[in-house]
Amino acid sequence: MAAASTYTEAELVQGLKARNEKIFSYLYDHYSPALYSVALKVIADETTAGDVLQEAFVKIWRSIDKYDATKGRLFTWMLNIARNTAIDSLRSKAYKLDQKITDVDNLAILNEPQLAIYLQVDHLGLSKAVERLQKEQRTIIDLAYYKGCTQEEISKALDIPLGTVKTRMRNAIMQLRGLLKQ
Amino acid sequence: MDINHYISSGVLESYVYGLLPEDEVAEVEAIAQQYPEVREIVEDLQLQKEEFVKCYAVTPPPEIKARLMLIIRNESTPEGELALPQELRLNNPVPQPLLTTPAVKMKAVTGKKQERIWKIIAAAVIGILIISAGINFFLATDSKDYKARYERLIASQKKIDENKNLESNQTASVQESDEDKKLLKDPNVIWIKASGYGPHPDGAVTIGWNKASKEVYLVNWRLPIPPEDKQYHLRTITDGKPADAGILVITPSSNGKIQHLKTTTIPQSFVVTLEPIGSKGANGKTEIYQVAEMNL
Repeated sequence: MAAASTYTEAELVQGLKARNEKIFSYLYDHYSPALYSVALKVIADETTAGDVLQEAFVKIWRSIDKYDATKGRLFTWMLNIARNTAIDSLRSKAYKLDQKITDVDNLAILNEPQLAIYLQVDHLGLSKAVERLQKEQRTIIDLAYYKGCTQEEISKALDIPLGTVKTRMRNAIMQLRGLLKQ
Repeated sequence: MDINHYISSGVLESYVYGLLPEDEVAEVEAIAQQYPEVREIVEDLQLQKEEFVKCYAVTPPPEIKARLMLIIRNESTPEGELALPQELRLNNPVPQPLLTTPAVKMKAVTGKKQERIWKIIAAAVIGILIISAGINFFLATDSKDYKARYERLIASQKKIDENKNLESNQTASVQESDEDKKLLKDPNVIWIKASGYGPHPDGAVTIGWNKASKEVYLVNWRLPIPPEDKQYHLRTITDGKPADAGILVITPSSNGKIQHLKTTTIPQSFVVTLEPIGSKGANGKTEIYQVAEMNL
């Protein structure tokens, strides 16, 4: 990834605002694997994840003017767009599947077959560092980040008090931090 | 505020990993602006999340990039729009003003949606004003003639129903099917963007011709809805001779969808005209709206 240092973040933002195709192409080459992984983890279906990735990059291209550097880096913003697009897609799919049976049951998303399978087996093969994260810790990160679950849903899914969700999240992230630094 | 307690509560981790409801998100962002130490931790957590996500990185299939480059390269053209799912199109069908030159230029990209929303609101407000003025006039001038009023109401209701039927029939005939989507990538189909003509300077349609089946297609983006007594025709011109390629369906719901027209052998030019219903063309009442040259 020697070319990674070719553009600074400010240059990337400026290039996107100036509708520069070369910058867009560079941005795609460098960030699409990470964004695609988010879509894949959320959706667990390659075709839909590909559509989500495409939609996310169109949104990035079209709404770069809304990017606010004071809230975080460009990559963080792009990740948020990819994650939210994927979760919207997952929820609309899950909702369509479940609306007849449960209407808006808080746990509808946890009953989704895709997620149940996902919780048992990781289809992607994690890096060694993340593999060492305790399953319990990883589950809370995955439920929050990749499945867009609310605190209430996580509290029910993991059977922990609502007030404990945030502290459990913090513990998980702290453990993850330690592993990533190794 | 005990900032250390706030930091150790787990709220920042929950914020970065998207666990918080919107009101709490706004709160964390406000506090991060106020306290540099909170901001620093948030930035650190965001970086760490990026590293975490990269652990899973998977290279996407190459055709996605090809599609995206095509979309952004042609984003202000109908071809680029057609490559997108309906909900992402900038040119989602919207009601158009009656026979006025469209004011929206193809190049205005950002802010265009907002502009359109204002247009719709403005159109709605004007509509309400006209209806309200009509009702006032109706009540003031004719308040005693109940029978005539009743009959008029029935007649207008009938007309609305007829228009509704007409609209739904037309919509059904221009439904975008999967077959249509394939046409966009079909190497046999040549797609060209038409240019405006005379007092109608903006390109408003895309025309396609299928080399294999000889079928002609048209996608309307911004032709204004024709008045009741007129309709749009597509005519081909080959060696100076015009030929009829069919009548266009122009309704808000037909915009952005492929219309199948007549077949024609090697057309040289296409012309979109507005003509009185039932006319045979080539008379003084024909108005040219769009022209396109087919360079074969």
